Amino acid sequence: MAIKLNLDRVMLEKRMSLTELADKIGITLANLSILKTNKARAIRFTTLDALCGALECQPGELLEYVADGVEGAGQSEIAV
Amino acid sequence: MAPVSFLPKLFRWVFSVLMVILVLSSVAIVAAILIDPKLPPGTHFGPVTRDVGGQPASFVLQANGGDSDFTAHLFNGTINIFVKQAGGLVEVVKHHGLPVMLIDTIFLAVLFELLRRLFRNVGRGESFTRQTVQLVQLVGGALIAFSLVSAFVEHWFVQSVYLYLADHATATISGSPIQLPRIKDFGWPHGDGGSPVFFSGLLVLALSEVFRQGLALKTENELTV
Repeated sequence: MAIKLNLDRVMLEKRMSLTELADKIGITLANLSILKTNKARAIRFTTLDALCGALECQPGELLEYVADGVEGAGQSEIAV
Repeated sequence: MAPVSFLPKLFRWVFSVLMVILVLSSVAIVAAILIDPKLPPGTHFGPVTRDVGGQPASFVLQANGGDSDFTAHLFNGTINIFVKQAGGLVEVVKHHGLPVMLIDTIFLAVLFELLRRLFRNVGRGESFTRQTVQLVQLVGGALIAFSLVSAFVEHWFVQSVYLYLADHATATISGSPIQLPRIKDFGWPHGDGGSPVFFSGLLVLALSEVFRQGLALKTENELTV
């Protein structure tokens, strides 16, 4: 199983850059990059809360479950 | 990150100095093996009187043909040791002892270099990295390998000296002569209840697993946003 974080898609929809988002939620660019590239192993509720607040979206819009073997699945799992 | 104490830096320097000393010692031993200095024919000294176990003892090296005989009178003459052709014993010690010393010094130099690198990483706050885990595993493996190798080479050295003494040395205790029996086959080296170096190696290998799990936790923590 794999949980994918669709941060890049939501950011594009909300027309927000990575730097702008990082400044808004007080997270480093490096950590935001880990989230964006789906390399994260886990995401804190506080981070998810900040992301949803800044991007004005629901957690379900950010997170997506992609079954194994499905094309475009995330590279790593994210445990919440 | 927690501030790093001065100890890793201190250990790093101590191990660096020890490593340099051991490398120089190894070079000196190799030079001694290559030059192969010999006891000059007819070398003699003494009698020299010293206190051994609180009692007077005397040591004499007398010229005998092209070689020298060694005599020691210990505990007021209660124990007398005579080694015929002591120059030959020096040769045995030289040809068997120097390679053993060389193996020991090279091993210790390698061990101290590994420890120096380990404490360099710890000093930088990189205790839980792949390289540090590999270094701890290497130290453990090296200790185990050394304990096994040194058991064999030291056994070989002791056997060689014993066989020479069995042929050339006689001892008298209270006037009764004692001759060492000539044992041809010493068999495999057997430990004296387990080598501390071997068990240290096992302990370090066990600790390396702790470091490996620490590295996994650190990676997990770094990838939690």
